[in-house]
Amino acid sequence: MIRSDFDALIGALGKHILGKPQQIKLALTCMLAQGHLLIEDLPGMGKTTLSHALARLFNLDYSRIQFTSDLLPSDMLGATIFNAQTQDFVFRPGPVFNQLILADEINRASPKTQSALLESMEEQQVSIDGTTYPLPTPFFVIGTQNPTFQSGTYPLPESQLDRFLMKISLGYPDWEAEKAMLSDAGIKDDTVSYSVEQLCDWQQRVKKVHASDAVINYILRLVTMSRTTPGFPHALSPRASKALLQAARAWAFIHNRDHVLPDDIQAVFVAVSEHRLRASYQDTDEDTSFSQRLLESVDPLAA
Amino acid sequence: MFGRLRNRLLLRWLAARIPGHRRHTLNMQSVFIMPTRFGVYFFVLCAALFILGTNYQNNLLLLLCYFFLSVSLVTIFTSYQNFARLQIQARGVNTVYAGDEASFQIQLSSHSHQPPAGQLTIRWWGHKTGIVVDLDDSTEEVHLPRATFRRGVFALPRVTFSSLYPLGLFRCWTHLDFAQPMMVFPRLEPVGDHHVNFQQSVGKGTTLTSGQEDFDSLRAYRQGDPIARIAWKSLAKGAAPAVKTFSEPANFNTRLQVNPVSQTLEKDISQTAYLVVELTRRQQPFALQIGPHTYAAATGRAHRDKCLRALSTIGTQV
Amino acid sequence: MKGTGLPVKGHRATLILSIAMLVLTVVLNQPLMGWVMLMMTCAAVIRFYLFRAGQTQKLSQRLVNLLAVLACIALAWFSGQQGLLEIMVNLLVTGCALKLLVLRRTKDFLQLTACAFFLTGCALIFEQALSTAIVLSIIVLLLLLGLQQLYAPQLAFKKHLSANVKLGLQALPIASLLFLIMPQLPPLWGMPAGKSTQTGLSESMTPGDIAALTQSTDRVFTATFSQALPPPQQRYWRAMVLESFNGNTWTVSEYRKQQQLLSQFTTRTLEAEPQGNWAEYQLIIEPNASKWLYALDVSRPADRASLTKVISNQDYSLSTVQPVMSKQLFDMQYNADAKKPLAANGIDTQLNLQLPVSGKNPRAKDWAQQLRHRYSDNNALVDAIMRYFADQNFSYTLTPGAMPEHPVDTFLFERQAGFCAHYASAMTYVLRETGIPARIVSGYQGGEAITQNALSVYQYDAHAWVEAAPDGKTWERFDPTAMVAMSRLQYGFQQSMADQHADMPLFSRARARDSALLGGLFAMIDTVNYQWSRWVLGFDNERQQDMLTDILGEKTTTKLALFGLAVMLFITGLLALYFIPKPAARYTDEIQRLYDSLSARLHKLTGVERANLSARQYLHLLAPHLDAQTFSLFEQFTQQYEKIRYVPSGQQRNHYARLRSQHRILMKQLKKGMGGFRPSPLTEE
Repeated sequence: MIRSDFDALIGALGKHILGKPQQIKLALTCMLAQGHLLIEDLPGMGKTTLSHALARLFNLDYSRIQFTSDLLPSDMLGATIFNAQTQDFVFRPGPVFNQLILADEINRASPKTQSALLESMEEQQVSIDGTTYPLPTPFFVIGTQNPTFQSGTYPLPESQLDRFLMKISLGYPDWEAEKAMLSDAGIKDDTVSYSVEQLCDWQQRVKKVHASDAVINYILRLVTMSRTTPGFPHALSPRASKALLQAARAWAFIHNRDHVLPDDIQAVFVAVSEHRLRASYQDTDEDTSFSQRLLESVDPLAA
Repeated sequence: MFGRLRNRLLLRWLAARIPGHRRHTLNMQSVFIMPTRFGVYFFVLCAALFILGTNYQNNLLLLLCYFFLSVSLVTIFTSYQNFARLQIQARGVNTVYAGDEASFQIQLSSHSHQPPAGQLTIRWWGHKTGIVVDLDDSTEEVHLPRATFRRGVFALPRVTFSSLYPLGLFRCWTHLDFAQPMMVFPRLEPVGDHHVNFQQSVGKGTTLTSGQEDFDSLRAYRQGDPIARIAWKSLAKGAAPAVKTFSEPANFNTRLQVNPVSQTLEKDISQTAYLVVELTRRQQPFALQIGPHTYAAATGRAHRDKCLRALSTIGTQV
Repeated sequence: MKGTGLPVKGHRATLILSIAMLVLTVVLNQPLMGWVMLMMTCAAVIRFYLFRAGQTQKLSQRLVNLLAVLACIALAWFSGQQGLLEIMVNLLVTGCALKLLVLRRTKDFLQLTACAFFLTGCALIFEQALSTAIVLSIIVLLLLLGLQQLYAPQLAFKKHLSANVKLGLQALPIASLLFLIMPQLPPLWGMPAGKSTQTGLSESMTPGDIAALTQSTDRVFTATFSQALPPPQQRYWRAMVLESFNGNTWTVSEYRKQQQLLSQFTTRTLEAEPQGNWAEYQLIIEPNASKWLYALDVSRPADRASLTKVISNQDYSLSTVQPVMSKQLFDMQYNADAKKPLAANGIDTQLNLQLPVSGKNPRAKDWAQQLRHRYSDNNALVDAIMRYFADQNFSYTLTPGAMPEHPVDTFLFERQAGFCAHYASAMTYVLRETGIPARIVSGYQGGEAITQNALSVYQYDAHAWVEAAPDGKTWERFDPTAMVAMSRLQYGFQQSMADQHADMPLFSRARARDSALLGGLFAMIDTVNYQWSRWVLGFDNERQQDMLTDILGEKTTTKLALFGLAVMLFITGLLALYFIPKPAARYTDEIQRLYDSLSARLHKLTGVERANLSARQYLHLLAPHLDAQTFSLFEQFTQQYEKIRYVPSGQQRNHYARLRSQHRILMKQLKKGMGGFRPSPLTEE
């Protein structure tokens, strides 16, 4: 793997989403770590653009599902329909049968629909009327949600938040970026492009990134601290520690390293664990984030 | 007067001896140890036992006296050892509005395999009372409350930690400076929306308009709301009268202004601060102008905090 | 902190304090009055109840004040029967009991604990047996545990206990060392002696009044001989000489008492060249609050230390300058063959021919006259009296019955049964009537060998015998009791009285003779107690000096100073041993140790702390504070560190070696360039 490869890739993405290199890197990391991404933001911040760009970059099948309160699971997963011509039932796959799915405003849908999506995310398959249909690979879901205090939303329960590898927030672009966006909105560079196979290859290679004992101990200390220290609404689950290692590996990989450093863990830590630690806990006066507090109180170097 | 001078000299000396850090590991340099009043009485007791022992020519009494002396000698070291196991790290102060009680969060941990024991008294420099924490009670994070009176950024004073463990004969203590700034936002003074028009947006004549296009949410009806926006549907169902609100994210024309040389500066600041909080709650973008400085229109918590910070430091720095 | 309130329910510290107080009260049973003990028991029980149930009803201050007033009145009422020391102890215990009832604040707790410490000391004045010392040390540990519990209420009890024991064990060697080397001072001033503590022989004897002699098995003293034990017939321990007689009662004469007082203030000198065959022995006297010493005839202090404490009286008795309030050790020597001449000034003759003017004991007087007529030789006369006791079917009994009127007559001619006092009294009286100077010597006779060369003497060995001067020049000892109870003289009181002590308590020493097991047990306890008395309680200035001389040889100022220094160093060493952390346990990982030492050094130099940053982040944080060379060195070090830590093939030997060398170079560089660092500006944010 050549460093410039990823630089070019991130550069290409950066042309679509201006001024957010960190978020782009995290999104890419998430994809390489074979996890799903949750973006929490106000409307109009470029969530759709980001997922579009990712899909285009890797030539993935892409579909967007707009979640509303009346969206039914079958609308999303697909349904078995009676074909009058052949006189039998035919399964018509829903929009979920795509490689990259943008689940827009996921918290506007009813819990039933939400859990249907999250189940298929976890299982990588869909069961309808007793038949199991595998989902395509790679399978990557980008969920977006509005800030939870808006009315008319069903906040995702903790158990389901846990299924997203990362949660990021794009936020407002800065002055310069927005200015650039407004001045030459049309110019988008689509010359950089990769095959799906390339993505799968990278995903396999991420798994082989070396994580030494020191790094694993660091992760263990972090999760243990979240479990033993009072003041955290939710502790980090073993699934979270697994996700953390996976994400750190991917992060190390896109930084062209074959081993994980504590710095990699720190880089992905907030994105991976903040939504797991906080979950539905709302304390608007809390200034420091929980994951930041954890990072500050655990020494990455101790043996 | 004398006390003040002594205080200042002491603080200067402490600043050299225990410089400010976010994290402190206690050592010989930072820990002070002296006998308590009980400790002094204990020595008097030892002297009394010695006199009794000598006058009655009683060896056991002498032995008891020496045993007590040895115990106090050993206790000096035990108490220091126990106290120096503490590792103290500042977690920061939560930001509050003037008049509220801020709380300074301190994390207590230990770098030794054996945790420190006993009760720990934590108080602000110069305060008589503080909070008592039992180190055996697995309280790792401590909240030390501090009353706030004025807006602004303040350096937190030193915090005194003291412990009497194990026998109360000696007091181990230290005064730590955590080099933490404490942000106190201005007091909030509620003010109606309509005030904004002429009070804070002088000149431009902008209004605090809400969006008209995208339906956002329902909120309770307040007197003066346009009748057209009342959610008749829900009212017909018997619910309390509500008003439909519409969001308009691109509406950048709300501008709050504060004149730093105004006669009623504090009142202005408080009211503006209230509006900042209120507008943020409604997710309505606004700009803030303080004298020559302008903060571009935006919304969100980060923007709110930035504006409040700017408001709270008016007049306190150049 | 001092004024803060304490919880009542479940407050373990208070409970521990109450238990310690209760046990202490039991140990102090000797000076304490029954009602005071009862009060403390009540207070402790109430505390126990409060511990279980919590404060259901607040004890009103008025009630406690009332109790206090009542207690004071009671104490004042009973104080007449007691010595000053007892009154003080009673007062203190009463105060503690009341305080325990109303214990609410930390301050009360501390006051009570201090009082308890002091009372523990007081208890040691009254009792110094090994068993008491053990119980009292447990109480002291309990009190310390209570204090510990007060300041760390949440710590697990097991940890408290181990910390407590550890504290005790750590303090004990230092305390012992201090005890051995701190100078043993003479008493600074006289202390009040308790009345009830005075035990043993009395300065007056009224044989006729005693209907039955009760025998106590308390030990009086132990004597350790440097040579062989004296034969049983010679074991007469002289305590005091009773020379004044009023017809019923023998007392120490006023003249002797005055002499004794006077000689306290005269300087006493050791006789330079002891003539004759003097044998050394050592006395360990149990506390008896009296001034009389017990010594073999003729004894004198053997060394300077004992000389300062002992007065040799003209009547050959010995007394101490201070009453013996605690176990004390005296070095003596005796010469069994020494003559005891009468004083040259005739005072002895004058005193010892004194007779009561009253017409008491007429028959004895007549009998004396007859004897005088019959025997012109004084020696023959004395023999005749002695023979009279042997021939006339006299018998020895502890229960002779009272003889209030004409006691000598009644004894000599009617009852003809009695114990030593009767015999001695009768013989002395008769001798005086015949014109031979005679007096009663009161003391102990016998003693029981507890080791090869040590004797213990008990209260039941108390005895009285006669000293007379038939030739008018030297005193001679006559023991009329021996004429009737020869066995007492030879085998000691225990054997001779074997048939008379059927009503002794089951586990008494006297009983122990019957059972081999009990006997063995008592013998063992005796030996342990003896060693305890000899080496711990008896350790005094003399022994301390001896010890120092043994260690240092000749004592010079330099040597003493060096010795003091050595002791202080030793104590410091002990403390270091206790408290310097064991380095091996702290660092198991060498790589981390190298990194930590380096970052600690950098922190010190630049003021930038690593504070939970990763190696790489710390490197970047330090960048502005280091010069180029140091920075590149540290960068290399960091990279090497990361390589070993995180890179798959990084854990090879040569990597370790490289890291070590880099560490060395960097440390050197840092030492060299101490001055060249820019400390971090205070406003980092």
